[in-house]
Amino acid sequence: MEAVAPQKTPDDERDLIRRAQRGDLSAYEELVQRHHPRIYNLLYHMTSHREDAQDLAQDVFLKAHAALRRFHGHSSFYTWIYRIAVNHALNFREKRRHDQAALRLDDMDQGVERDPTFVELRSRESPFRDVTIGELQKKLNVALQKLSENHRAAVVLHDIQGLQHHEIARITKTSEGTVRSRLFYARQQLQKELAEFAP
Amino acid sequence: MKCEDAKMLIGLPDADPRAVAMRDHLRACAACRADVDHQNNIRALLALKRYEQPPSGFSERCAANIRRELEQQAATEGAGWRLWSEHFGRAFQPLRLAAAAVLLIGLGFYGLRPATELAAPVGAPASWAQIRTESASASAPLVVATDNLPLLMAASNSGSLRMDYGPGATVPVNFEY
Repeated sequence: MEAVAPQKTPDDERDLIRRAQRGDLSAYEELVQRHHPRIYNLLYHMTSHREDAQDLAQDVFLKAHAALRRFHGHSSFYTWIYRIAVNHALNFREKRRHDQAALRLDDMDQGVERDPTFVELRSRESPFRDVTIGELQKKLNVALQKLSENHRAAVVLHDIQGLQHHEIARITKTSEGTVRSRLFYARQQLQKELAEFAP
Repeated sequence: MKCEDAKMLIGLPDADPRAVAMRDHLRACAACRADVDHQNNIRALLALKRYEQPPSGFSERCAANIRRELEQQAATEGAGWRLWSEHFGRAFQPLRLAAAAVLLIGLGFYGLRPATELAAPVGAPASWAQIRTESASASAPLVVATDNLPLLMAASNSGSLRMDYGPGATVPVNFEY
């Protein structure tokens, strides 16, 4: 998956948004199809639970549709919908804070095996050499779930989703300095958890 | 630049003026260089999670589900209004008809009233013969009353062409006497 997020709302997307705001459900369906994979990915990494991510993604798009008339295009559509998704995920996590049983660890897409980072890590003389994709996914998920909600949101949005500091600041309604600080401390904690894989 | 400040600037875009000072600091500080390496290793590891994707065709199915859900919502809202109209609308049908009839009668009466009342002095009833005049001075208002008409009528003879019919009712009249 290419993680670099688009910077602006493309013209054809603006047209889709206008049509959806006028009640055209086909236009909104098209918008959902375009943004669903990224929103699902975000929610999956926020929850580490595939079924929850699927349900939450559906909730996010229904919520976004209800609020669509309030979208005036001051920010890009994906920033707007990301904000709804992050808030929704944080609220969901708050409700399930103590429910560790909700963690479901799934396998990664097989495309990871061709990733240069993965290939390079597997070639090292380290515990990583013998780790399976499933085990790696499990380790990463467990480590991510130990982060605070805000720290996890920062690393998911930046290191997994590929958003820039200023975009994350807008989505999470904080300053860019706060985003950088959260990223630093979140990665520091992850480094302790994953020291065997990321020395 | 202090180490704590430099750590908070990791990931700053190259175009930012503070990035130059930070790079200078990294060249001189081995501890901060190690921190940056650790951070980059974690970033690379997390980047592997980008491969997590919804199952094939899932986004399309989800979009179709959302559309169905929205269509159902719209249908429910529409059905709610129809249900209200069918049940309560039917129950209130006689009341609505009665209200419409009262409104029509009221409008009709209001529209016809001036013409009827203007005609009253012309076609004077027999009882007008029994009208008593209590005051007829030029400056005082003329007060008239009848024995068998329940209405209190008062008129001014000072040039005003209006007559009062009891409390609140005032109609223009034509006095020729």
